[in-house]
Amino acid sequence: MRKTYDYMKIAVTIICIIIVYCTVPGFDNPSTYYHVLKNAAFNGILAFGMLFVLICGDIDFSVEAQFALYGILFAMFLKVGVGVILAIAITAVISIVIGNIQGAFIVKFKLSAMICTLSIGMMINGISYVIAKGQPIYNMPSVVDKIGTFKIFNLATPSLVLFLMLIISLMILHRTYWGKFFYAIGSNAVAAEKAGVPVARTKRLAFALCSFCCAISAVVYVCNLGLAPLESSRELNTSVLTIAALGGVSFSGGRGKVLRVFCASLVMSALTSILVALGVPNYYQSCIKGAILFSAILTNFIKT
Amino acid sequence: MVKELIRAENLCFTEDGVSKLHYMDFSALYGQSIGVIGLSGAGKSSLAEILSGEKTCEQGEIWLDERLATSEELKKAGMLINGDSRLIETLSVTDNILGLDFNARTSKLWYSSKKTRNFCTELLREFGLESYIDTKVAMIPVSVQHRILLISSIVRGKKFVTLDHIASDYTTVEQISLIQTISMVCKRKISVFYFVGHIEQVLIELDKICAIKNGRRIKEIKKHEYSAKTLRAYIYGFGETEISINVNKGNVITNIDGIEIRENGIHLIHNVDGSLPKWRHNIFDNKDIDIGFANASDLYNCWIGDMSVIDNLALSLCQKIEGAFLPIRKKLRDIIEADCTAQTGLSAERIYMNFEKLDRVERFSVLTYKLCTKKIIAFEQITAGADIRERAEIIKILLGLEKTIIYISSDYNELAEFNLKIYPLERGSIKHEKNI
Repeated sequence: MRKTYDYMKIAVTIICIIIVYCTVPGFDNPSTYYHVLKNAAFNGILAFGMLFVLICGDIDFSVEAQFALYGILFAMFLKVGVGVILAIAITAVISIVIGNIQGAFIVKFKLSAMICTLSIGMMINGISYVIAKGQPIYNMPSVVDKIGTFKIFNLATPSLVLFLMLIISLMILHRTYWGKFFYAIGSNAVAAEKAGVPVARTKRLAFALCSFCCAISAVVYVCNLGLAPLESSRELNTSVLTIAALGGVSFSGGRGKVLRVFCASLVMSALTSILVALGVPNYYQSCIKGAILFSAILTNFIKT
Repeated sequence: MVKELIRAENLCFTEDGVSKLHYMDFSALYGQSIGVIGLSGAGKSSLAEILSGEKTCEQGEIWLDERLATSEELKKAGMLINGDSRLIETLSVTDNILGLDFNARTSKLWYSSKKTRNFCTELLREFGLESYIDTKVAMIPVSVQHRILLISSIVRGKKFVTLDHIASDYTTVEQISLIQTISMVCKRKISVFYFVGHIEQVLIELDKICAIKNGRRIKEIKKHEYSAKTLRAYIYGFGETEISINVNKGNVITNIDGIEIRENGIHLIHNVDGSLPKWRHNIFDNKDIDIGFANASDLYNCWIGDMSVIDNLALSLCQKIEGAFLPIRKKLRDIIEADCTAQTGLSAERIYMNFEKLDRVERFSVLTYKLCTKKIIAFEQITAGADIRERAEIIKILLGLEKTIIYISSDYNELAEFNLKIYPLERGSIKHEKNI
């Protein structure tokens, strides 16, 4: 039964790809697919981060704000003459610290993850505006362009980083004890604690990983665009949660697969490209994406 | 000579102003299985939680491996499995046993389900549970999940496991399987502490049984000294020569007509093995019989929690006069208010409060008020789950009721408080009456 269901999913995907290939303008060109992959990278990396938090049974609504802050910080470091690698390292360390603080607040004071991350997100958003003085950061060093335009086998930097983060996430979730701890806490925190799982530390790690993914995504975004915009992250929270839902991640915790989230990010990116290619107005696009999200949640509910 | 694993001396523990443990002593050797038996409120769960490091006592010392142990050390060395303990559903059986292995995590980061699977299969084969290795956790019976948790203590490097009331719903076959698992785990030098409220089959196989009462250890019985009768005597508080009847679990009183009922007296029914007789009447189906009946769960389940006390009472009155509630609500409230406050001792403010906000004693007052129209009221172990203070207050209310009361209980001491007659049950009927 389970196998039949999986085969059906693969068959439906192949049929969809053939239909898109034959009917949508531009989708007969391989470069479009590379483009889809590249566009999937930013939200995909963020979704991997969100996956850790969601598996633990929490949620992070500060993804959008953190993404903007790390982009600004990275750009600022480069502007003041810090080397690229050091700038990435500092941004990553800051992200891990912020993630840890968020996790610590949630664990220590037993705050609702939603309220806590929303409020911290608002603070971070304000800090981003203060640091950037309300303006996007332009005129990046030439090395940023080099990173942005770097390609291996036609795969641009964002796509490569997406694959790298996919492997890291897979390793963490399925090949380490911490991965098991994430699933255990999300499924039954009390039982996990009794089994000896360090719940507080694991939750802090989940939030730190989520923030780290925000930092990586922001760095890739800045390198790809050549500037650090303040307004780029509008509706990013919704997009990331949509990918997670489409990827079958349980919002109540304990369930979620990295590969499915990866596929979901590709589907969402492809869908955006298809709708743009077909000339569908922006507001209709929102309706269609919303309907897809709703049907994904409904399918998950029926399945479970 | 077997080394001593744990020794607890003079443990005192108070919770919510109630003394749960009072200079309690406890000791165990490596690989020893110990049963701890006591009635509700004796302090079993408190002792289990303190030994497992879940709670800390305010007085007394716990020595682990001849060293004074902190809660953290006890938590690391011990494992607490209670009736609610389950395997984690989203992980496989292998991951549940090895993936959550805290000791392994501290020494290495990487974990592979495939590599550990063989080890787990071998381990479970030893306990006859290898067929569950690929079963979805949700499909595994609770008793098997408890046994797997017990087995996982071996790989988690635990020194002792505390089993708190896990087998109350087990079948005989499941109890036998648990006994086997306990003895196999003990052979690996892991001690098992089995906490239980009633005499169970499992106890017979354990190395030692400690009977506890009112937060103190009252008797330690070794395996070869074990006899259900002596144990009963220590737990329920009377000697085996006084009452030597045996009532099997599941015996029922089918009809109370056979009992002589005298006006204004208290009649107590006592079931010596700890099981309780089932009563056929309850407060909602006794229209034709002038008997009220209530048990401990009626204090919580027979009321609408988010409705005020007075509305709850008005609603039951309304059911009796078969009228619609809302149109006559005000009138009913006026009728009940003064009477209810006078009879129950609750303030007017309390009776307009939501029922869920009342404590156990207040709930009992309201329940007795509701039942006071009956000539006879039967209570089945109404104090189950109550602490010592609540128990005393409930009994005080009971004694002040001036009604014919049939009180069904397995706690001899509690029955003794009433100072009247006891009818011990034997195979579903009352053979003789006994003056206290």
